[in-house]
Amino acid sequence: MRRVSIVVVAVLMLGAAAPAWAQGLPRAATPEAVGLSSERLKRLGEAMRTGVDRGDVPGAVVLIARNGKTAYLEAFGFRDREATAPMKADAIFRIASMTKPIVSLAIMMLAEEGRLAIAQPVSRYLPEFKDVKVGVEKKKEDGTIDLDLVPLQREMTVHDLLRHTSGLTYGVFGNARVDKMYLEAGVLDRNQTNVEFVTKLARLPLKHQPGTIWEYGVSTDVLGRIVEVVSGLPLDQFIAERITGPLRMPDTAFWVDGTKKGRVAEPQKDPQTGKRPPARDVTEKPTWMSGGGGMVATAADYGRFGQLWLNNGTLEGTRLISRKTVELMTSDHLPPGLTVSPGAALSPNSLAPTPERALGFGLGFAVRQGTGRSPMYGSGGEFFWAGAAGTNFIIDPKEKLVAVLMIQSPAQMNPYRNLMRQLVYQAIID
Amino acid sequence: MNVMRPLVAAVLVVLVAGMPTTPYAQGLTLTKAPEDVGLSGERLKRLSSIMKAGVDKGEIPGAVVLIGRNGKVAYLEAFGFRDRETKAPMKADAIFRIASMTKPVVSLAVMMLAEEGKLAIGNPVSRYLPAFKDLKVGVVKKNGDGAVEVVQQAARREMTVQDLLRHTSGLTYGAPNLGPLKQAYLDAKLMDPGQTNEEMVAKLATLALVHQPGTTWEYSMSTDVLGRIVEVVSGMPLDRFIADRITKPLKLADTGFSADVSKQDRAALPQKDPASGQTPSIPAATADLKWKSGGGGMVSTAADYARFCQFWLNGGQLDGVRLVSRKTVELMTSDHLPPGTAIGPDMTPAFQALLPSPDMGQGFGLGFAVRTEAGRNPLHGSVGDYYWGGAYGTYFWIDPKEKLFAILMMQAPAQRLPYRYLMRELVYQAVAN
Repeated sequence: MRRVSIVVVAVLMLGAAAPAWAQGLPRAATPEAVGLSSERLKRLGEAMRTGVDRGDVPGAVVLIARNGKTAYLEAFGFRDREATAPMKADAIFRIASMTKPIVSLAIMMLAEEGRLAIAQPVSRYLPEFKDVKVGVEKKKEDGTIDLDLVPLQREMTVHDLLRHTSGLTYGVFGNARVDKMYLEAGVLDRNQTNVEFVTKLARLPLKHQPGTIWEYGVSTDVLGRIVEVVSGLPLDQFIAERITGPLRMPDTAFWVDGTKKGRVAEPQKDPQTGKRPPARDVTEKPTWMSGGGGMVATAADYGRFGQLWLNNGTLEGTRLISRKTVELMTSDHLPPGLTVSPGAALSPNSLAPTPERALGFGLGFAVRQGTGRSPMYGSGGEFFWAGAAGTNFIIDPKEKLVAVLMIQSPAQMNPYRNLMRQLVYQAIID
Repeated sequence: MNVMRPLVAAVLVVLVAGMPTTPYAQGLTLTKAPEDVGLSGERLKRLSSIMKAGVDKGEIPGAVVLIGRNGKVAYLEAFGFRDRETKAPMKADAIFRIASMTKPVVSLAVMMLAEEGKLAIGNPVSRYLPAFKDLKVGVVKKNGDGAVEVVQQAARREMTVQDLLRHTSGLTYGAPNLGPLKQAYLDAKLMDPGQTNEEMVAKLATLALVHQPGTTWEYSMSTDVLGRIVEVVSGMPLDRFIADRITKPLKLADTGFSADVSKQDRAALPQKDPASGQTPSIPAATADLKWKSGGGGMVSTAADYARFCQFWLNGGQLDGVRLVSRKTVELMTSDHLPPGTAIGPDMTPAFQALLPSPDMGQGFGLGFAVRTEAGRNPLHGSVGDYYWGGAYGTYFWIDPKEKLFAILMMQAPAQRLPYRYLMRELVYQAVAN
């Protein structure tokens, strides 16, 4: 006992001073020791520095882990360009939708405890969703559009929320009547609680019949509320106690201590508008613990999170879920013939899970079904997702590889995602 | 043993002849016997006698056949005539116009630039060639009076670099009697040997696409456009990029957009067609054409192309020189045609058993066709083998499962399909392990 408390005290004392990756995965002796070429990795550094010099991105942190070891962790450019503060490897980023795999994991942990079943209707945990209707647009004779409220063919399940087939939407990606109703109702209002959020949402019609269409939406925010209802804990507390604490991800949370303010990466001014893209102050505790996008993390923390999946649910002796749960979550869950919501499918760099790109969707992330068809470098069986603020990650079981790109630059999300992929994968030499 | 004797003799003859560099002297090593790499010397005789019979029958002027396995050359033979008209015998180091076997070389160049982060294959082509921004799709309609009219439609999405690599860009090749869209290619003189790549893409950008991008596999000038993208992105002429970055590092001494005039007596020539008395029009191997066609402008030898094949089998490296990573090779040799991809209406007669269609158990990767099924296809092969050929008669395939590649070099356009079929049968029947 005494020894343990000494260690705890020592860790607390080192606290803020210790670099984040000191708690990350162990370092590889050289990139070559894990089958990566340091010569070829220089190309990655060059491309990132060029991006900073050109003003494309303020700065970035890139992490590559292979065979359980960190082989590459580098910081580029500025943590805050306007303040000319240099980027550091332990910078804290708004990870936006990279929150989703964490909340999906929370759900599956509760499933493993038998406290919920993902096959159950959402209304079993959130009764207000029992009788939601689907909004179907009907063109009247005079050309105006009416919204028919059609009964559900079946209720949405927790499974639908995990794979984005619930019929829910975001409101911001389309121009349908239901999209507009989301915006009017303020579904993404930062000043709401999760209780207020689901109450609001349950009063709005669904955009699609559940189970029929993949549409990226607020499904994972609803999952966040389900975690609260089933566990009896606020979402942030559940994640801190059950996930980020045990996995030792000290900088991953819905907000960080004010003492870490000097580590928070900021977006840069858009040269066109002269304004910074909106970014919340992450040292303030938010009212809304958004399960779909509310968290912050470092590259090293998210690298540990990635390794948890490669290790089939365990990290350094801490098991959060079983191998079978990992298998279930990283399998494609979209039935053949399922449609992807229009718009998403046509953009050439879209991550939409379509057979055209051999992409599917598992329980919390996109899952690649094969190496071909996609213009992205990668492997069949890899899973990945990205955050709207510019971050993205890849977990590739075939190559035993985790890659994390941290950038706060919403407009550069797609090009830098592709760039990172080509430059990470081209460095594999074994 | 009987097969090996002439081979060794040929090597000696070439060495004694005192050529400064013999292609296979810096090529892959020869096996002592085909049996060392699991091929039957006895059964390989069948391949030799079929090729000899083809020469004797007058079907082909001559040919060079090379088979590599487990990193070694197991079979390299020259048949018939390098130039039937002058009775000059074919030699193993003969230089051929490889036409569309240029495409894998140029596709590799594109992927090398992708590895450096200088381009992304998911990007629209217009990012590198702005004139490709607003291309229209031409739809041919027949009016009531039977007259044909071309209606222009907006493209539903732009073509991407990936579309160029897998031939789903909506571009085509010019051809007579196949409708106004392909006629327009001919009228625009898109194959003019006197043009530059810059001029070629400028012409192409004024023409209508024949399909909506991404919907249809249609063999096309896509790889010529890739050649221009290499120039724009690298800032180098295509021939120089390929020489500096690919053929020199891989030591492909006789591979380029033309052969030096000093190699004139190594150039393989087509023969007169006995029926028409005409000789197929193939540019001389030594002709240094202004147009460096990324889709078909190169010359090579069996030994050089063997090194190129072994480079792929090795996952992107040869003799310690790495040009691309294993992951890039995996991406390029995977099928990239989505389910439901249409096949251009004129493609089936042109490609037959080589057609990259699900019905044939084949697809198309980034620069070559890929076999996806063990069955369905009438030709011997393996799942995962990839291949392509050149219109003047050359052909190659690479079979990672069998660690095997095979190359047929000949300049006999009319005989290209039958001899590809023969090659597949006669090489695979010799696999003896």
